[in-house]
Amino acid sequence: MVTPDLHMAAAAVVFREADCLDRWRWQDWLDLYTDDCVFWCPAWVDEETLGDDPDRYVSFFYLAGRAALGDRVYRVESGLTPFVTPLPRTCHVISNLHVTAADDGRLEVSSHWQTSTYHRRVTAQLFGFYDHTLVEDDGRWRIARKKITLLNDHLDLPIDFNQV
Amino acid sequence: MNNPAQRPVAAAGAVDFDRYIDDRIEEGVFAVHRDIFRDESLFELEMKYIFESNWVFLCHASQVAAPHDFYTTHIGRQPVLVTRNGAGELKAFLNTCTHKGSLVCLTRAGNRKFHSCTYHGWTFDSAGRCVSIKDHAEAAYTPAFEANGHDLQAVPKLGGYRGWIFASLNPDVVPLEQHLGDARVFIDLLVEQAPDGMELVRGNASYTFPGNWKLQVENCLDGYHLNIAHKGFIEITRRRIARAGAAYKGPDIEAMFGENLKTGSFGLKNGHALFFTENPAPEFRPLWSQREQLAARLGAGRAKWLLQYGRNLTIFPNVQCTDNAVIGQFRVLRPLGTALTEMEIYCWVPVGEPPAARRQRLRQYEDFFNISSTGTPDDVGAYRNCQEGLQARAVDWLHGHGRGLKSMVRGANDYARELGIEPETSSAGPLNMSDETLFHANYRQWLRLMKEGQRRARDAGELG
Repeated sequence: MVTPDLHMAAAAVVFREADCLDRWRWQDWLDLYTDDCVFWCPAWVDEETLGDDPDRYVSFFYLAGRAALGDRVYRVESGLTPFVTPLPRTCHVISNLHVTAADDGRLEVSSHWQTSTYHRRVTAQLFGFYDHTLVEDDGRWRIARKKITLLNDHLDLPIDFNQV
Repeated sequence: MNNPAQRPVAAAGAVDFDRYIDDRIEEGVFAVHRDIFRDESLFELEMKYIFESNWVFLCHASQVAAPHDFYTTHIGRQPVLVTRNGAGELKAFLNTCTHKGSLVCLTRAGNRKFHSCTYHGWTFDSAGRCVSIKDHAEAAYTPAFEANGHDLQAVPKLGGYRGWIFASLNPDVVPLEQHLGDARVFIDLLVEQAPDGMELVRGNASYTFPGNWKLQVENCLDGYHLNIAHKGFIEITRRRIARAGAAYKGPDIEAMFGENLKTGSFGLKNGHALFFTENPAPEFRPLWSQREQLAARLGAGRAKWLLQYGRNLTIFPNVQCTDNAVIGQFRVLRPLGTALTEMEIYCWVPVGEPPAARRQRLRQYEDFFNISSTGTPDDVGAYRNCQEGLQARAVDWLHGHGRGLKSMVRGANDYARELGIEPETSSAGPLNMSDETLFHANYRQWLRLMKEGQRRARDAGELG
């Protein structure tokens, strides 16, 4: 039974994550993740089949551990890269959020997302689903796993972790 | 959000293509005019004279492995269906129903004995034969109509080299082997890594970038941008090594990207080119443990080139493969407009590789090569910046094709002799020389094909 409190707690983490990305609060974003987290965005194997195994199919992102996320943050913050200079502005909008499973200290959370990215006078729209696994860690919920399903995968511009 | 593909009316009358390339090597001059990247009247002509008159890469055999497997792609602007028939023979057809013109095959890839048009139901088998016209008996077609063939129109030329499948819409194109020339040796090196051959990992990564296709042709061959455009990647790598501390067991990053890294290039015949680096730490390549078997199988020279040289290959005009440091990437490009190019990119792997090695290879591919990585996006950013900067039409010539010219040699150097190849030009020097003479091969072929195409068009009475 998913109580309203649990639902609210799950939503708070998912919404807070998006807010941290969009407001460029990178360290706060990283702090939402567990040390051994997995951040995964699989590629599509064909028009109707999403890759279900990161060791068999290519992924857009398969970042294991918070340090790997930190490297991507470093890249965005460093100003060393032509692609993210100047820094793109993003806005995540998340809806249809519901807790699909709740065990002791563990929540599975499904949601739908749409991200607008504005960069150099051009706006790109990406959209899809999130599947978050949250774990209770020292009295708060953190993200142990985030699977991102990117639905419009023929891209007009390269993508970064904060644009999906 | 991208501008629709520009389809300007081709320039009336003959174009003086020589004005785009200033090729006076004897005087120490080679320059490319900026209009070649921005002049919209060139796009139609490039499609017609380069992409639709010569060999272009279609797909890899692993993408159409079994009888009745199919794959859809394009030659220039034209939709193409590649299929294997029931006997396993490869065929390529224009992907357009002979009835009303609809695409016959709507999906990217799969396995089908029959392709049925979704509009009126005309059906074609995997050998392209029209096997069913819906309500044929009641059609009241004339004998003259019945006498016409209704099969899919075949692509006139289809050829393969070691699983790389090429095609041409021009029935009079030179043989594929001749077109590839010495580039075959570098395809050999890419293919011979594994006893069971190589394949492309599944998982779509396709994108467009707002820039001219020749920016991509050059980038794959360009050593000069490495420690500037990819500084972010190099810094991340340094961070990882520092974080690992004593536990780090990998190549010396400073040597891998150092200015004294030994590099070289070959400008090959027919527009192909190769950039290479001597890998200072080949022992970290996944294949290093098999070096004795490789030497026994391929001979010492080729095994050395396979293991100890990172290679970036462009087969003009539309396929590129890199095999450097640890991993391989396969890229296919398709121009959609003067300033719009579509890319499909793949991870290039040995068939039957152990799972742990495959996992490592995928993670490294995603780290540097994928469109969501910390490498390729910076190249794409650079293309966009070039295309916007090139709109400075008051500026005529690029200064980007002169590095290495003083030390370049015509024909083979010692590196080429190791492989027994005869390039048009050879170059060798440290990374901080960063040869740019290999691009000359691309532009000479561009010029040759544009002029040849125009000559054919004139002979056919197509030019005013």
